Amino acid sequence: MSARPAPAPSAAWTAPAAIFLIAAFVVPAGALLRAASLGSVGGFFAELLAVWTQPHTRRALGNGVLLSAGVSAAAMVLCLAPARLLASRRFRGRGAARLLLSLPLAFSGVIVGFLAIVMFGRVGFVPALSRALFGRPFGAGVAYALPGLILAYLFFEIPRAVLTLEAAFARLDPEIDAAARSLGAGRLDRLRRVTLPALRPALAGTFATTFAVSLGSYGAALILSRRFSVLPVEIYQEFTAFGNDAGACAMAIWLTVLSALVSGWAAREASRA
Amino acid sequence: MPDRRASLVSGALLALLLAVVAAPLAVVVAGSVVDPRLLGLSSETWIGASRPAGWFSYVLELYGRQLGRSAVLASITVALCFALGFPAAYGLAARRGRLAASLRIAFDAPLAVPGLAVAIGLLLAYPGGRASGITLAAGHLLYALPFFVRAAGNALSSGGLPELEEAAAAAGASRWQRLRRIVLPVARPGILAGGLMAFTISWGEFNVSFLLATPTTQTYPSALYLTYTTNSFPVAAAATTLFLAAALPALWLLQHVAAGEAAQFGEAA
Repeated sequence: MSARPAPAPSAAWTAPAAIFLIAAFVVPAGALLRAASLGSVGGFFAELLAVWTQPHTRRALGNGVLLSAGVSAAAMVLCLAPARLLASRRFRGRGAARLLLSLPLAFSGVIVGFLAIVMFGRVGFVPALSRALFGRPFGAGVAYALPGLILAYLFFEIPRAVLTLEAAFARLDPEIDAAARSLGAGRLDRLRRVTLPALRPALAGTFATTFAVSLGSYGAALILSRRFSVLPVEIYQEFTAFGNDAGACAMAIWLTVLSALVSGWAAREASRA
Repeated sequence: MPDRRASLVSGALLALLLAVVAAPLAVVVAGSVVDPRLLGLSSETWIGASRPAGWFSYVLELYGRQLGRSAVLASITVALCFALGFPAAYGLAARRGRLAASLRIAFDAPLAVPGLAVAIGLLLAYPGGRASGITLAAGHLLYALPFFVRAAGNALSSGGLPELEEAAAAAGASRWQRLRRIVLPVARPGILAGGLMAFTISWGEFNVSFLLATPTTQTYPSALYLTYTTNSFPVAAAATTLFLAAALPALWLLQHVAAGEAAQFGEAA
């Protein structure tokens, strides 16, 4: 039998997954767009505009965007140095540290909300400990206000930020930093001119991921916040309690657009590198 | 020495992050096995003495169905990921062109869409799929599949696969034989890592499931929402500990079979 080269697998192998994607993603997206256009007399664009003109949905949208962006940025800053340490040093307990940090990846926002209440609720662990030690229940009830929500979202995003940044640091070429050092560049100079530019795509990707996850998550807000609403909670209520399909779909479209814009920006940053 | 000071600061920050993650988990796990009055968290009478299994048996009575359902759904998600995701990764592995690039973007696209939007879309497009749980499984698969395809794809593109396949073909191996003897073994670490990620994602999924589930298809994360809003602290703590009991081994295995893949998992929805 004569030798013949193996033909590369054909693109047809992707067909089952592609068909699933069309049925479970493209068709539902169409249904979402259609439902948004069936609502008010003004049609699709009136419904989309209404999300911005009604005070409570505008506030929920703004709240979610500000909270997600702020927490994502904070998580990135907090996690840069620890991520670098995890990537560059081999120390005892490194595996356990990474395992512990990866654990919250499996959590939904609901669990994170519960953990916030356990620590900073009206009878939380921190106030109970502080009452025992100092006689004053420091932090009691913080979980239900904005600081509690910020803490919960941080808890949610820290693992994502640390692990993706660690991978980025591990891919960095140490030679370039060494070269800059031997040319006399100082620590801050190297960070500003060498490390951060090289990390740019990874930073954008990390921000986009944490932003999209925060923006779309509603479990924590559902459990914690009484007054501070985010858009997914509004969507859930419009859809289930008020039967306002068109309004809920219009909000869901805005949520998707915002999330996709940030993801697209990060993908462009990554492809430019 | 500035380098040393910098690594001390990094170490302290890392320790702080670890403490922030570990402290609430420790309190919750402790709260499920010791008298919560010791933690200052509840005035509930401790039943540990009268019930040897503590609150766990009570949680299983209340939410055992949801726990079992989540385990089944996570297993189905893993199986479907393999059935759809492995062929997709294989078909994309050696491909460079426009079509492959757009397909890769398409497979990742669900990650950029909030779960609630996906859930509403599925509900409107297939109103009859809710009772059977088909749309629920589809929602889980949408968010697990991208990770599986990436992990399997990474394994397939790192093993010198085209050369191996060519050599096997030259030796007369059929496509089926090559698939079984060469492609699958090369992809194995990726399949394992992707499967573990798919399991973990499905196990913790709430954003899609909360809306799509009916009382007969409700999963464990939704049961956790119920217990947080209706039960006392020791019950909620025991329920959360049961959730961790499945998530922790899966993530531990993931770290051990593929530490590199675990990093990508940062993007889980």
